[in-house]
Amino acid sequence: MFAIPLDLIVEILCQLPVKSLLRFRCLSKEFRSMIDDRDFIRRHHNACLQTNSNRRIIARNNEGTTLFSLEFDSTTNVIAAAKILDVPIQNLRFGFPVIGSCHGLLALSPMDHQGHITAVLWNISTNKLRILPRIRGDSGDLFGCFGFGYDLASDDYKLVKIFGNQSSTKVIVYSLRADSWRWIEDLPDYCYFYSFHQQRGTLVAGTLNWMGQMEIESRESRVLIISFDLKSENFRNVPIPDITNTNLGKLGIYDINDLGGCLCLSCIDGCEQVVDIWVMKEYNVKDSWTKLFSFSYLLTNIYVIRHDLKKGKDEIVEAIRHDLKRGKDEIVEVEKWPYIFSVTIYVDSLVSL
Amino acid sequence: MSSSIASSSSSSSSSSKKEKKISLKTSDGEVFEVEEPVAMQLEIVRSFFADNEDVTEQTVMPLPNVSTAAMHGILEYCRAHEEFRRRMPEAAPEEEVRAFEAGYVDRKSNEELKEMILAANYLNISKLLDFLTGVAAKRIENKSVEYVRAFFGVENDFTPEEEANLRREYEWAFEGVDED
Repeated sequence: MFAIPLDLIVEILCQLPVKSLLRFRCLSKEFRSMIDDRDFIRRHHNACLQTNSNRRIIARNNEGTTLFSLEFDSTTNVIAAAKILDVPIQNLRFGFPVIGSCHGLLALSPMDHQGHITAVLWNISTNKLRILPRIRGDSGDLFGCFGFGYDLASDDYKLVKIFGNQSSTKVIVYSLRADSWRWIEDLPDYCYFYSFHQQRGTLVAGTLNWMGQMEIESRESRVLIISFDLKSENFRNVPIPDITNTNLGKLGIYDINDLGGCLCLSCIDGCEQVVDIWVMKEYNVKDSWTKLFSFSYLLTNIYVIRHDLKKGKDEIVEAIRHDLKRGKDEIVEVEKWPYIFSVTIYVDSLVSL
Repeated sequence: MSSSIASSSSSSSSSSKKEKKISLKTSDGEVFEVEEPVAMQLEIVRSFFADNEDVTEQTVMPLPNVSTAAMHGILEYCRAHEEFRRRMPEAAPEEEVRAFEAGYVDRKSNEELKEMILAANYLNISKLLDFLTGVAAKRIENKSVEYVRAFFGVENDFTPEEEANLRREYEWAFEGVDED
């Protein structure tokens, strides 16, 4: 009978899905504390990221009433049939706008029966849920921007809500450790959000990023990225690429994404009917913006960008999948593919709520 | 896999060029003569020969923590990978590697697998160790608590009440588990 030493047991456990680990907490007291340990949880999640395992796409249908989970097979790159997710929240209606996903926690902003927006955190893999406390003085306005991410310095998860209009913008931050909200300094008034309608922040390099605008002269404004540093809790502007195009008037930023840890912009050119994908290889360095490729937006209106760490390749997944290395598009067949409104990449974890 | 790759070192090599061999002695006293590039995949062997200037080709390196049975398994893997490496980059035999690895572990019992993990750890062959721990994970992934306790040799120190409470906490995690 050969006995595996503890360090190798940890290696083996790191390669297991969350469901198996939740079961193996019953093995013994030692196993339970090992699996519940924060360092182990971090290692396990990092192992999932490294091997591209336990990863799925969370998609929301156009009406926002249903969330779907699309599981990836990392070896074959096949997307399994879309599965409807059973969100464990009662007394809520009007669907589940997704704020973001970080370390296996999905942040949602559903609306209750009184029409108030609440925020919830849900670990899909452990099926634990936390409903965030109500914000005092918050009317539950639909017009708010959200963002969700992790701050390494305080080892804390933060959810940011930004309320406002073009003249004033208020910011409030929720801390998971403290389980409470606190107001922070307002957004500088020279810039404002592109849209306050539930725009969600993109988490990159410890910052949340939204599309914004800045007045440069009367009646003229410039598109920019508003970035919130999760550690310092300060806002700043991140430069966008100099997009020179003869059809400038019809060119717009369409979406902000995370591509392999880099900020990624999708710009749409209405005349050419193409979407250009830009990546900022080094965060907040304007010269590092690189145009990766373009595709016809008639092919697709929503897509997922994913980065395969192991193989070092980036891909766009949707009805088309773009393989950056081979520079070709493939049709991805998905059974029961919903008419999708928005998508989020989610990686399983044991992070507790 | 063809027998030329998996052949034991004790059988005479038919290759025309004479390769440098390294002698490795297992815990039960058997001496393996291993082709140098294969032996050098064993980090413990590589550093032994790199760090000791007074060792010669005739030096027999003792490996007291590895049995003959485990050594056969280790060498089968390392030889196959040396063969794959030699063919690179012309043929990137990803599928072939996968097919070899699948066949390689299918024949091993849990005890054999664990012995190989311990040997790969001691010999410091990180690629093989990663592969074997992955195989172990796949083997227990969908198994019951009792099966995995036996696999790791773990004693259950919960009272029946404690265990029942733990199971209740994530009841759904106990559904759809394979028969032992």
